Amino acid sequence: MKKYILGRVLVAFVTIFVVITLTFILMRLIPGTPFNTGNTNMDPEALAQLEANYGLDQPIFRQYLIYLNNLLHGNFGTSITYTNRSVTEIILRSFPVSLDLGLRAMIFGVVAGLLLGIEAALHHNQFIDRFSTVVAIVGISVPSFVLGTLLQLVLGVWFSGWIKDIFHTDFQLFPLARWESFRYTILPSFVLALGSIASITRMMRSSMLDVISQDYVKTARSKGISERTVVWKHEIRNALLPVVTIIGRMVGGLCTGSFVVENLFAIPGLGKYYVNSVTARDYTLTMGLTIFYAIFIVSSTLLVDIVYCFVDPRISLTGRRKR
Amino acid sequence: MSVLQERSLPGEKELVKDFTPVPRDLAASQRINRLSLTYWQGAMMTLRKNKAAMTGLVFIILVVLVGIIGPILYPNYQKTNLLATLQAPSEKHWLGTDLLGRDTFTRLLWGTRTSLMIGFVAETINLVLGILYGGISGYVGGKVDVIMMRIIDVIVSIPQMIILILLQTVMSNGVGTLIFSLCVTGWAGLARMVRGQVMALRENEYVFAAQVLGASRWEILRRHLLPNTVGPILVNYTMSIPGAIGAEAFLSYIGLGIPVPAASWGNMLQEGANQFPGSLWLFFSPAIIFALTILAFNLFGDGLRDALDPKMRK
Repeated sequence: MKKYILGRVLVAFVTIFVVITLTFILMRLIPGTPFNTGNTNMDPEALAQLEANYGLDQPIFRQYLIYLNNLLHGNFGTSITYTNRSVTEIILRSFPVSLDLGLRAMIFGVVAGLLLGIEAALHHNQFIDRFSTVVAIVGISVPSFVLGTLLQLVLGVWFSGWIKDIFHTDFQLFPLARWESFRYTILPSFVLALGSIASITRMMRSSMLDVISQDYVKTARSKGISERTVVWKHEIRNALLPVVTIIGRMVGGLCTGSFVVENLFAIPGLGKYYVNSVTARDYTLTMGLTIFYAIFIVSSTLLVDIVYCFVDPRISLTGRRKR
Repeated sequence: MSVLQERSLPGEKELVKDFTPVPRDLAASQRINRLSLTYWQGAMMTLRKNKAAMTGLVFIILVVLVGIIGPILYPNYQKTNLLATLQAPSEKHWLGTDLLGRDTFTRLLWGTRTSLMIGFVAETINLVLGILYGGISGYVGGKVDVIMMRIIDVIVSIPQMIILILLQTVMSNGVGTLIFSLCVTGWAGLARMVRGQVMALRENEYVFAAQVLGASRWEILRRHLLPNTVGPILVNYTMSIPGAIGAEAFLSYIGLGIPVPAASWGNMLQEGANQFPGSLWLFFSPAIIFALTILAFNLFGDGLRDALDPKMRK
């Protein structure tokens, strides 16, 4: 077990290091400096001053070392478009919003997915099973931005218009944008969660069906153990194991999803900053946030893997997670 | 029981005398009544009976045909007409026009070509890379395998969307960059799977027999190991194409993928969303065909996986 965990931690560190180096090299491959993109209007002395300010006058290797050192001290660099705002400050300010959104989506996704999956397997080939299949198929084939736009149209525009016609109020149950009270969070969390609901439902259903046909479940039933105990203690407990692995991989998907959802619903989270930094060519911000996301996703996957290792001791014995 | 009782009766010999053997029809007993099926024939039969999978396959073929033929029939996807912007669907413009008066139907045909091309080309490259890497790693084994797998561990841990976004930032946007960035890390999952399959298969006796008969390593890899891993590889390939198409749509939607004069499902979706909530046809025409295509690939992939799994066959 120790060896397995150590190996996983090592891989995680190497991954983060590779991402940092790759990001650094790629960003330096862009011709010119961020301040010198072909416009010659700038006073060369001011330009030199600016470059010195951002450490761009040093040799590349030294810049790399300085960057690594800064990262170790939690300094992700300074944004170019948002003058005088450090990347760390932006992360500290907007990451909590993203985390809030992500956690809501995750909790909703896990709970709904597990319930649907379990119910579907317990009532195999009945209505609820077909319903769960439809949910899974829709969740997999409809991307979040299509679903989000659709819900904005139906619930945000048509439904609100209808409410306004009948009750003569401007109250919106599902506001189209911003992130304020609870009702603002319903639509974005749901849209972000749908992908996770789909994959968890699918996985839980097949895992549960697998367990139900096992001999030990039949034995438990024939021993006269109550149906409730069989379902909870024998079926659900064992079926949950493989599903736990998915939760680790969900983090990456939720981050990707949050880029879209935050833009769609104008939520001031980190995903919005990330996408904007790319389109605004704010290289230092893109670089800092890329590394931040890499560290975040890699370490949360690692954490889930380690927890999983305690939950299911089999994997650390075989050394590799079976798929 | 009754036979035993009869045997113990005293008149046993007379009973034997009465017995006349039925003449054996050698030709009839040689006849095979049930069709003997190879693995692939059986799999194809199961697949053909799966309605959802076949519907998916038919839809995929249709969309591919549309992507190939459509742009030939309707070549003017860039033609703007500022006198007819944001028109609703009509006889002249089946799916209306966009902000610059371009015909949405024509752009949809071109978008289909772009998106499918990205999906198929990127995943085919990943397929080749993954098979080569996984095959070599699994077959050679030993230290080489350990090192190659550690590299895979690292590559798999790098979140793919980070690579996608980073490369779109650094390189010029377009189909080539997109395919390239999908291929940087996309092959790793498949390579790991192929390696696992090869590892399991090379323990088999027939591989040993081939070795004893003097077959070269390359020949064993090509003749024995790869054909037996084809099933799972095919399923993986089918299921990964919607992923690549989805990645294009995601990137174009946030403004990074295919730049605008060209058409792809992603940038059409983005354009449509910008006009939201007016001109809904701009959003829904690519959205529907996009969702249906992803659905078709998933249904077909599911069916293929069930058909190729002997445990699932009845």
